[in-house]
Amino acid sequence: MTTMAATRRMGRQSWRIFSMQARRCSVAHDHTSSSDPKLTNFGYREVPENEKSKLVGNVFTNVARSYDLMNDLMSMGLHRLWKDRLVSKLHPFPGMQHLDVAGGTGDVAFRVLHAIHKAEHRAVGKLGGKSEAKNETRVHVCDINPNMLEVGKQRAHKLGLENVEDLVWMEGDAEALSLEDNSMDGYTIAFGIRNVTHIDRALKEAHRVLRRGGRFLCLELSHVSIPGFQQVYDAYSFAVIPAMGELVSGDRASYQYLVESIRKFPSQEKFAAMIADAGFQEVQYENLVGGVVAIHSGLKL
Amino acid sequence: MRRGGAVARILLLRHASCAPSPSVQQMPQQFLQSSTARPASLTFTRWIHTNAALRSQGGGDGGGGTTTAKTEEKPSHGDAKSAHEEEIVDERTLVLHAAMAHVRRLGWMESALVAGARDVGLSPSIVGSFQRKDAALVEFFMDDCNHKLQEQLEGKEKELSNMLLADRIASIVRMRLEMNVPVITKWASALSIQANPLNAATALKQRAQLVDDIWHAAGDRSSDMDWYTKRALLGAVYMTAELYMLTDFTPGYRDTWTFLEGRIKDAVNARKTGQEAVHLAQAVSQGLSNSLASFFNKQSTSSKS
Repeated sequence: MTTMAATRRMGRQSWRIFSMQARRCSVAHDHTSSSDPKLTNFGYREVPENEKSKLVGNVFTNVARSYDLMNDLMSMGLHRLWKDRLVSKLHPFPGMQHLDVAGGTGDVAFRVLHAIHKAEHRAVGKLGGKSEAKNETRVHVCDINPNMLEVGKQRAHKLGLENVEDLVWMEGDAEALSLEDNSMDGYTIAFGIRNVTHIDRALKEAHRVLRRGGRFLCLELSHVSIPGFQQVYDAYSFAVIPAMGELVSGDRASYQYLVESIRKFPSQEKFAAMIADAGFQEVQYENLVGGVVAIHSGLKL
Repeated sequence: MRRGGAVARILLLRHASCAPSPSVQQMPQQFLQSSTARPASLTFTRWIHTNAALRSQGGGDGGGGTTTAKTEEKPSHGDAKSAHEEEIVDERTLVLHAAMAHVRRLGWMESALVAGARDVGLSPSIVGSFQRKDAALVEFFMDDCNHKLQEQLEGKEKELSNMLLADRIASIVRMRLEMNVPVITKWASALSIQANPLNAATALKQRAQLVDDIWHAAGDRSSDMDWYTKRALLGAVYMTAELYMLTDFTPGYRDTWTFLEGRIKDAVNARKTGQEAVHLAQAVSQGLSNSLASFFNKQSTSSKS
């Protein structure tokens, strides 16, 4: 119990060995030009590029039902705070056109919508009249997986948001969005970019759909480099999380993939460099819980 | 903008000091420390560009296709880069500038910034990237006004030099206070924003700068202890006049100007009183030390006998 509590306070995630990171960097960065462009990683496995999305799709189809419960269990409820932090950094405003990618269950989208409504109320209170931009607000929820979207729609129904025209559900690929150039004010992707086959393409798409002045924000499980905490986190993610996944959703492999894919994801600095390469300015990141998650942000100018 | 230039210059120096280091792998940690601190956001951007440039220079092993676009961004091209960073600062300045037109209607908070961003054709999302959004506009306005005052004073040097000191200061303070007139209905809330502990440091700095500018324009070149008393006194006078103005409904703020002249005369008198007090204190301490000395002398002589 006490060890659980200790882990709980500290969170999870690690930054494995340097060599592994270096390998990952080359995979992430050069898959268009490296010697073997057809392979990409799926957890620790190397798989053909065209299969990764299918495999990831299977993972999320398997876990969709218990997805939110598992998030709560694995992060000990912290993922709610992380998402709140993401939205507060985004600073939504009335009349905003927002796109939340890989946000099938609507977790981030509902928060953005809530923040917009709050900002609207503030504005209305100040002007003593109707807000001029009220009906322009659109929060697009995009996910490649229809099962995840289904879960999100059900949750919207429960929250009484099923008929809100501000919320737009769309099935789509982060690497090829069906939105027009320069049409969005904000782009968020929470715990999603890790699962995308070509991260650089997804970033380019984000840059394409954003307007000048629009912001890109990414919340992602990242790399812990604090000695001691790193070992605890590693132990937690490799021993506890897959077992937990088996217990709750009866699917060990999907959660094994989750912890492996976190290790395969580029380090904070590397990912920041990739965001800058996609054309974003003022790329910054903030580590939460010692790097268990990081929020990267970029500005399109 | 002036500040932006300074930032860019500092970055250039920093940049020059780390450019010769060939070890790209070790640089991130070092920059990571500074990038987590807020004002260093540009530093981090710069690192990324530097990193990209270094990668493209020595990237025979794997840089290849993804970095070819960056090849012209060698670290030596610092000037081009700093111009680029000024551009970033400019986008924000544009938004702030446009937002000022909405202050009377929307106040100093984010709604004015959002409206300003719309005016200049940027997505209002950019407001989210402002540091301390609530204070940004007030601080911009203060800076802008102080800057304008400087410009106005440059053209009036001769006119001012013919006045008495008290009148000179009164007219400069009045010039500055008149700049608050367009936003006077919202100035009280600006003051409360400045009083917020998070923003107080900047507000104090800006006010100190203003008071210093006024004394400088009034022809003060002192560098003794008097320097502090003069600035403290004028700071207090400026503040009281500023507050007085908030509830002054006379045409042309007539009462405020009368009040201001009165307070400046008081301050000049207080300074005299202050100097007199210093003389008095010196005299008293001298007398006291004399009597103490004689007391101890008496003691020692009595113990001897």
